[in-house]
Amino acid sequence: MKNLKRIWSRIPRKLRAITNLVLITAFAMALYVFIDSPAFSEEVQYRREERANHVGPAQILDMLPLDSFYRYEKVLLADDGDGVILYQYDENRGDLTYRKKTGDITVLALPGDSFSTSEWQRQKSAEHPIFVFDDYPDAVRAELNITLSCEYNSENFQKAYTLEARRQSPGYFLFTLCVSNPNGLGAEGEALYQLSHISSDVAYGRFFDVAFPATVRLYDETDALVCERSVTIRTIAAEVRGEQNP
Amino acid sequence: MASWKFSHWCYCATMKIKYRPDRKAVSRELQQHIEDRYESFISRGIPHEIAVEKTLEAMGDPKVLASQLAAIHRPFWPYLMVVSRCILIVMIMISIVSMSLFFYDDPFSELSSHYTEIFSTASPDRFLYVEPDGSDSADGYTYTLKKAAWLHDSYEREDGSIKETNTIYVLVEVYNPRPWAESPKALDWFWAEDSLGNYYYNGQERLTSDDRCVYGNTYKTGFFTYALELRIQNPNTAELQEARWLDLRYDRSGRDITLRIDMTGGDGL
Repeated sequence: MKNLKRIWSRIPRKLRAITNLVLITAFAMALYVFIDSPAFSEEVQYRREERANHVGPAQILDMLPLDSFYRYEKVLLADDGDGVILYQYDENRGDLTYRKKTGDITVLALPGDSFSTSEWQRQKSAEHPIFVFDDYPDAVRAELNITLSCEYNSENFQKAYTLEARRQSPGYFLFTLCVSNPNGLGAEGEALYQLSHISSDVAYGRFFDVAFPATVRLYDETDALVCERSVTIRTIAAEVRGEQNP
Repeated sequence: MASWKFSHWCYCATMKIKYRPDRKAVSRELQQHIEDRYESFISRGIPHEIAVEKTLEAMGDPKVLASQLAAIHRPFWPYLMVVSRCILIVMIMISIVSMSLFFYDDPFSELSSHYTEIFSTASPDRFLYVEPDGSDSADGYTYTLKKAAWLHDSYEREDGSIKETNTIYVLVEVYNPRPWAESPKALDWFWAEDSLGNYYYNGQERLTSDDRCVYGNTYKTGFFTYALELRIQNPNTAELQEARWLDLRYDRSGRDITLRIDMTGGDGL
């Protein structure tokens, strides 16, 4: 140790300072990678998440900002051929939702939000994004008819909505379901809560048998009908049981 | 008196050196040099007062020397060396503290004690399987089956009735050598199948606590390793005793991870 100290003290100061700086840089980089491991771009962050979820690699369709109402700041949309992906994220964290495609049209409501069911019911107005992924690049306009239903205070609620959207980016249409009621959303709020959680795991033990029927119509530039599909938005649990016991 | 005059001369000569350790070292050296000269005058029989005057005269103007010494002893590199050394020490300390906190907070320690209890005692209602060690990988993550145990248990409900539980506990270690990799998030999608064709729902598919299903938790256990604590719940005892194997599987998006638990052996059976 003494010899080492003696050798070290004989080294010129300039060289010692440079050695220290090199060590600091190496240390800082190691700490940065080992402890923080930041992603240097949103795509890198998404690709890491993809690998951790064992899905993809998917083609990124778009990245959209989310309202402060949601848990995350942005959502990334991707398509890997067999399934579609919604990745909601902030800096260095996020939630990835992967769903198998249901043919050439796949309807997926944005999963989750920061509100509880009672908060949804008390709201006077609310909106929720619904994505329709499609394999029809010629379609420029889309129409979505969706019927929400639920049981609320021992009464059955059912309401049909017709939404329209124009294509912003290839691969998908974005619909926004807006509802309002000056007396509070009540049953409609409960139905919207279920819609917002139908793709996430909170379905367990709560509303497994939810099924919202929907019809999607796509139109081209001449307003001619390109495709019409009837789909049912369901929880995964209901989907699996539907497949097993048709 | 002479010593004071010499010290003052040294102080004036070194006052422009900004790096204090250098200033002290140079001052010491000059002081030694002055004293040597003074001694040589004294040894030649020159009286003390004159020897001091002659010594200081021989040393020259301290202000001129101060400027020259300041030009030689620039403070940048020494200060950079000291500051960088301090930063390095602080960084090493932060690393040690954060690493110890990392291991101190390790939830695996809790998991281990729970699992130690499960895997340590063989009894008629606790059928143990020896460490299976099956392995499979996807996307850079390697899943290794470490332990599996089949437990019958019972607990008293609030209403006083007894609830029987029947669970296969499985410990899977996940390894990914990339420090920037996310923790594995496929846990909810692992399902199981036994050699008799019985299907066990994955965590996303289960509906009630009575379902045959696979679910659990993920823990980070090291820089590169994670533990999956899986529970295969509600297997049919009679059927499972007939089963030769039970596969834990993940098969989304073109992947096929299969971890096979051999059901034909093990302590307690």
